[in-house]
Amino acid sequence: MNDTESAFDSDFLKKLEYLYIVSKKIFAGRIKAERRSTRRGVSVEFADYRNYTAGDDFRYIDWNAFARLDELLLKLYEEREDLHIYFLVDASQSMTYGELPKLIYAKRVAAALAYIGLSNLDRIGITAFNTTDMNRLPTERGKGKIFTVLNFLDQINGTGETDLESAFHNFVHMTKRRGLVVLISDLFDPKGFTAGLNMLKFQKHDLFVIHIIDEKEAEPNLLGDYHLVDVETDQLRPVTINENHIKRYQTLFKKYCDDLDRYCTQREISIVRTMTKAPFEELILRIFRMGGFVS
Amino acid sequence: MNFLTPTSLFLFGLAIPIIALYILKLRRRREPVSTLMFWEQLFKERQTTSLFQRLKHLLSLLLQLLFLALLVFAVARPQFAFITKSARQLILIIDHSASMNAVLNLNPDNPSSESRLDSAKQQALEMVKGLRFMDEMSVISCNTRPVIHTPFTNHQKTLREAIESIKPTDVKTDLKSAVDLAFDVAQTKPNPEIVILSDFQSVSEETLEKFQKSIQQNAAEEEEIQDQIEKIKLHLIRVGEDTDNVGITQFRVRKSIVNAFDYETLLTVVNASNKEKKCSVELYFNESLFDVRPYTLAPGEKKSEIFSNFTFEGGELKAVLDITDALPTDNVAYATLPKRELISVLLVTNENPFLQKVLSVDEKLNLSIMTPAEYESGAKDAQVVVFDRFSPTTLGDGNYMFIYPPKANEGETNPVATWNIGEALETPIITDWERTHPILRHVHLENVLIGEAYEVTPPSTAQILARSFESPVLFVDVTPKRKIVFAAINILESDLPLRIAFPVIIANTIQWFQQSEGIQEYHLHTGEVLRYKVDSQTNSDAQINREEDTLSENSQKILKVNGPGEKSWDVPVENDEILFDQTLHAGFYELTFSDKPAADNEDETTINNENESTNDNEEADEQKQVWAVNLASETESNIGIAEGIEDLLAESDVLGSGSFFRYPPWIYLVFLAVILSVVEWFLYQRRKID
Repeated sequence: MNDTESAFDSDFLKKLEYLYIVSKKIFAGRIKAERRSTRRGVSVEFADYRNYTAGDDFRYIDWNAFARLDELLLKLYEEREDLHIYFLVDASQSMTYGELPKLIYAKRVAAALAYIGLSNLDRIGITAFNTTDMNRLPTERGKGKIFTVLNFLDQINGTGETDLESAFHNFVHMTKRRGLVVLISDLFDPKGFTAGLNMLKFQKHDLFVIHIIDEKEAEPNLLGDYHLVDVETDQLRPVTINENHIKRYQTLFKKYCDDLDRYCTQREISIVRTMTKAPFEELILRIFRMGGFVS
Repeated sequence: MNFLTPTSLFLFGLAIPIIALYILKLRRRREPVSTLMFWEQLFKERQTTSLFQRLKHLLSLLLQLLFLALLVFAVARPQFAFITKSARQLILIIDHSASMNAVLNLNPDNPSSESRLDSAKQQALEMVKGLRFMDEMSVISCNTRPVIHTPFTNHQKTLREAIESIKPTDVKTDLKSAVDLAFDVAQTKPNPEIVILSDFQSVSEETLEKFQKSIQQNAAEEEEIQDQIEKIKLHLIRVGEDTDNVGITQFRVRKSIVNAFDYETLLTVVNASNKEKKCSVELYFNESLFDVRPYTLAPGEKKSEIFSNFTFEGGELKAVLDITDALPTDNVAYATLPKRELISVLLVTNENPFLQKVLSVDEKLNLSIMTPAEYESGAKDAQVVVFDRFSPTTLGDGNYMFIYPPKANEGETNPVATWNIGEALETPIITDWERTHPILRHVHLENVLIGEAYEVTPPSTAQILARSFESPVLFVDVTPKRKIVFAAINILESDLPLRIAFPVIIANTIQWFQQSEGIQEYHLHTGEVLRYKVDSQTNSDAQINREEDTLSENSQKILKVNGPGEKSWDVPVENDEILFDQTLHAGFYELTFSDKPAADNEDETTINNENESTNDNEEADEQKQVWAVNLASETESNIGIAEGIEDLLAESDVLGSGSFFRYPPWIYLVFLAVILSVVEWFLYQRRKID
């Protein structure tokens, strides 16, 4: 299978509905705009107090508390709003690597999550990025937009190199409304992943990273003399690989993943790592169960 | 250094394609990866060691070239002078005498204990295994006769088979002949070494001196070697330890001196140990227990005993020592007692009741009586002829007793008389007699009253046994073909027949006539050659002689010898005699006649005479003679070690194993090459080298 084939067959569509039902069980009790925002606003549900500062609306001062404590406290209420979920799908050439290309896997994951989001009346936007292009699907709402989403995802091809920082720079400038950013990528950026993720985090987006890797990337089965070819740059590297090299490679790869995990943990970024050999629906369920998708 | 196949060195040309192939660049496979960032990071460190990398490349080439060099040298088969010069020629002497049958560890619960010979052969096989490729070995077995089992060879299988072919025997040791042979063989070799595997339980002084000379000269390395014997290295390897043993060292049979019809058996038992031993000797006569004698033997004590009163029919006698010791061979001894025939005695007399009576009462005699007239008309064959007052006109070969033969008439001469009869004597008195002579043993002739006698002049060859003052009265004359006893008294005119001495003298005379050493011929020591004159046997049996004449000239007579352990041999008769030298084990050897021709294709004459031959065979098969073969050696029974050999054992050279050059150099080269290829393969597979 390659990235030119449709990632969404009839089986996939059946699984989408199944995943939605399962997700409803997980979010049982939630109502419209069912994802609670971290932002405080006007609603009937009390959230917290804070001290009054100049310019605040007097209507929200808790006069009872003032009467008792002789202190101006402002009542905060949880704001109910439509959630904007942005899917950032890595469409670089490296995502085409693997027996089951990572890009296909990424498309399926994005489609599944988007379907569930649309079903929950969230606004869904998708951006496919690489160094050369940035295709955007404006935010859509309603379950009926799922085919628009699927068509968009189907049109994405893996080309170009990975440059997270420049891609996210463009994204944050084109996206004024903050929301949940779901990054689906292998994160193989020679410049590193920190600059790009920092860019999103600094823009107050909620960030959820889905790190997709192929088995051969984690445990390469290479022994002997090779010309290694970088699929993004076509750069050649003559190497003679022995078992010690393989072990050393695995150590380096694990260190990279550990660094990524440590970075995300420190910045309260949810991250989930998967291999393409794992069924995508299991990944979806794992995402819901770990709760990171809903902060 | 030389090469057996120097043309093989051209194979070094194979280095050219190896180098050419090495120079060619390696074609690498293209492998797409999603990112190079990990690989770059991985190989970034290794780029700093590019010099080492190049060296590793060179190492790979060098290993391959070395591999080729080793193989080419191996094919060229190099010969190194220092190896060739160090080639040894080993002469291995293995003692397989009777004492080598002694078990090493005497354990009653373990009857299959290893013998000294087994141990010696095992050590010999180890030596064969340790031979270097250029060494040679010759194997000699030794008991009384040395036998070369294989000439010098380095073929291990041949040597092993030669050693395995050495079987235990019950024969005495004679190291000297084997050592002499080994030294003679060693003279022809440049670097000879003699190895002796023995228990050294009996070594002659001469052999010891030879050992001493060889060992001392080898020890003095700086002395200039002048004598060939001095450069022969000698290795004395002792097998076995001093062990207790009790054995029969003598078991001989002879005719009884007292009774010519009986046998006397001398048995000697020796305790060759440092402890007192109690045992019993069981005597079996024709497989039936005949006698049991208990013995208590002090350390080193030797006891002898004589057994007699055996049956007249003869048979096989076996002495078994009822004791378990290290050497079972000398615990059994064998003897054969030939059947005794009745002695035919012819009495020629007109009338002599005393003589008739004394001869007729002896049941071992077959007495015939003839008158002188009858004797003259037709003589009858007899083993002993007694002439009473009669002298025949002719006398053949045989045994004769003349009792007062008449004097020849004047003018006549007695043709058979070798004596001269003189005047008659009146009442002579026997004054002196040979008390030790067999005829007069146990006899007293004092005061014998003699009424009628005469003077006699015996022949010069005669031995006078009894004499009076005037003349001899009894003499014997022994010639190669004739034995004569002459009595110059008329016994009818004396009181001699009334004395006890008379029957004794007559019996003694008959025995004296029949005494011979023939019985010894049927007793041999192990290893001795059994000789048997066929003619002497057949002449005594006229029937067999006649039947031999009926055989065709082309047919060869075969005698079958059955030995102990149900072994049998067909021994051809050559020059009317058989020579049988396979008496290697103690026991009875039975010789039976088999008149079948040696050739497979019987000729017509034989076929025509088939019926007759069958009858002949049946009759011939009944003819047999039994020999008793015994170890009976005190030196073999004493399974200790000979005096004076201990020091030599310590001084003799220790045989080097020489295992380093066990194989030719080319094998080591190939071995190295294989190791090298394995190392190169391993290094390549582990990517230590590219």
